[in-house]
Amino acid sequence: MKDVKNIFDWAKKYGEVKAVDRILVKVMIQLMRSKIILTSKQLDNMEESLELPEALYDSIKIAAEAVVGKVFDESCEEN
Amino acid sequence: MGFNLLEGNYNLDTHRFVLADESMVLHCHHYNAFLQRSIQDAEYIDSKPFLIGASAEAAFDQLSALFKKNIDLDRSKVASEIFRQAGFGTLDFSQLDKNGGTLKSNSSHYAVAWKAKFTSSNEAVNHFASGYLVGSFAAIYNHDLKSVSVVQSACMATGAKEDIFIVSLTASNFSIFEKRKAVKIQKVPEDTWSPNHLPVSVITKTVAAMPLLGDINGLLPVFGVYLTRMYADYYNRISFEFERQLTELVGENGPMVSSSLFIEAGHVCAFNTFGGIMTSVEWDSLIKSELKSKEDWVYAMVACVSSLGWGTWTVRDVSEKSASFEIFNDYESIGYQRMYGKSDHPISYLALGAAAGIMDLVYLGDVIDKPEFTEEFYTKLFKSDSTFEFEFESNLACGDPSTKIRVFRK
Repeated sequence: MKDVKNIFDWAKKYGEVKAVDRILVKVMIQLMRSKIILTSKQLDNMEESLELPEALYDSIKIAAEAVVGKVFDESCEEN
Repeated sequence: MGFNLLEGNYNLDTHRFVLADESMVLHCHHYNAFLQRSIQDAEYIDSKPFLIGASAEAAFDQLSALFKKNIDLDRSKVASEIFRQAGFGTLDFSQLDKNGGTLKSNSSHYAVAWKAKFTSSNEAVNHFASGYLVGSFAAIYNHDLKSVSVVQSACMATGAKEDIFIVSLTASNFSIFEKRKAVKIQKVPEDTWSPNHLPVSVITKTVAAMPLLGDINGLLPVFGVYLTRMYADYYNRISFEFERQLTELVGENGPMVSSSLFIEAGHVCAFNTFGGIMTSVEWDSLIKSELKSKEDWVYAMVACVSSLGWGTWTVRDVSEKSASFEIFNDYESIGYQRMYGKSDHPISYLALGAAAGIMDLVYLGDVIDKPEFTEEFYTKLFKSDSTFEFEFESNLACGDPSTKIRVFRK
């Protein structure tokens, strides 16, 4: 399991206004297959981390990088 | 005398622009590109067939109706002229014959839009033109839509020198939809709510009378954006067909997420087009001297919105904290009813984003001070927590008499 919250936070900080919604649309099928329902509002209100299976983490990271147009550096907390 | 798209098609009672039973609405390149990209973000949905099918449907129905009524029309010329005058670019239909052929164009609204907004694309983006082309081709030569197909083999948005389309008489490679139903257009009540000192209907009339037509290259650069007079049911079909397919795939959570992007498309459109209008020379010379307060700016902008063919927009109340908008015959609801009947949820996403955009422009973006409408300015403003929230109070598509939207501070 890996934390995806920091990817969404990163996208929100560096991406366009609705970056998080765009990522969610891109990975919606994978989320549905894992029976996960996520909205940008839920993510906004989430204070703790959000641990998801590694394959899903990878899909979200790829989608986030496509939306933001930058590489997400996992080692750097600040990004 | 040549064909003129503007002659006699705007109805001042309903604020709709209709040519041969197709409602046409003014929208900017920001909206066109953002909406299409939002749909294509869901790569697991095969959207290309309905992106093409939607414009094929509108063009085929419109031109078939026009040709039926006017048998002497030069069909290829009219199809080329509507495309050019509506701001979509150029398509010279004389390059085709009854069997199809290859059509090349060096001017495309969608390529310009994509490059202006997203720099470039890895794949062809001009699905609207593909559909318009194949739908018009079928109407010109009396072919069935089911027996014609189109492929875009080069696109200027990818860096190609020109757009190239191949049209052939083979089984269609795009979506063909059930025929749309006729829908009753609501009678609009007399305006008793606008402030007396503001000539709201004069503003609407004046802006509606502006000769907004594509130039020789079929582009319509005005108010700092590239405008198009787009088929309302093109937007409606691609939005609602996307929503329908997404719901089938992932359930109701899908549209819950995707609708925020459709609303955002409306908001981006409002910010850029309305921002452009409210800082234009035309606004300064025709409207600004009448405006005594920020609230007047909202009333006046909404009067301009009614000139765009979107239906009748009104402001019921407005202050720096909130506003209520009532829209009669909003084009999204009309389109939804024509295509799918009554909706079980509000669907006027463009209207919602646009209404919020007006409030954001006037009270948050200080449009009165003429800021520059850049991506940076947009991002800075709308990542803040002070933007306006919005909600539907009613929606024509759900069977309500009109669409009411409330916009308010958080």
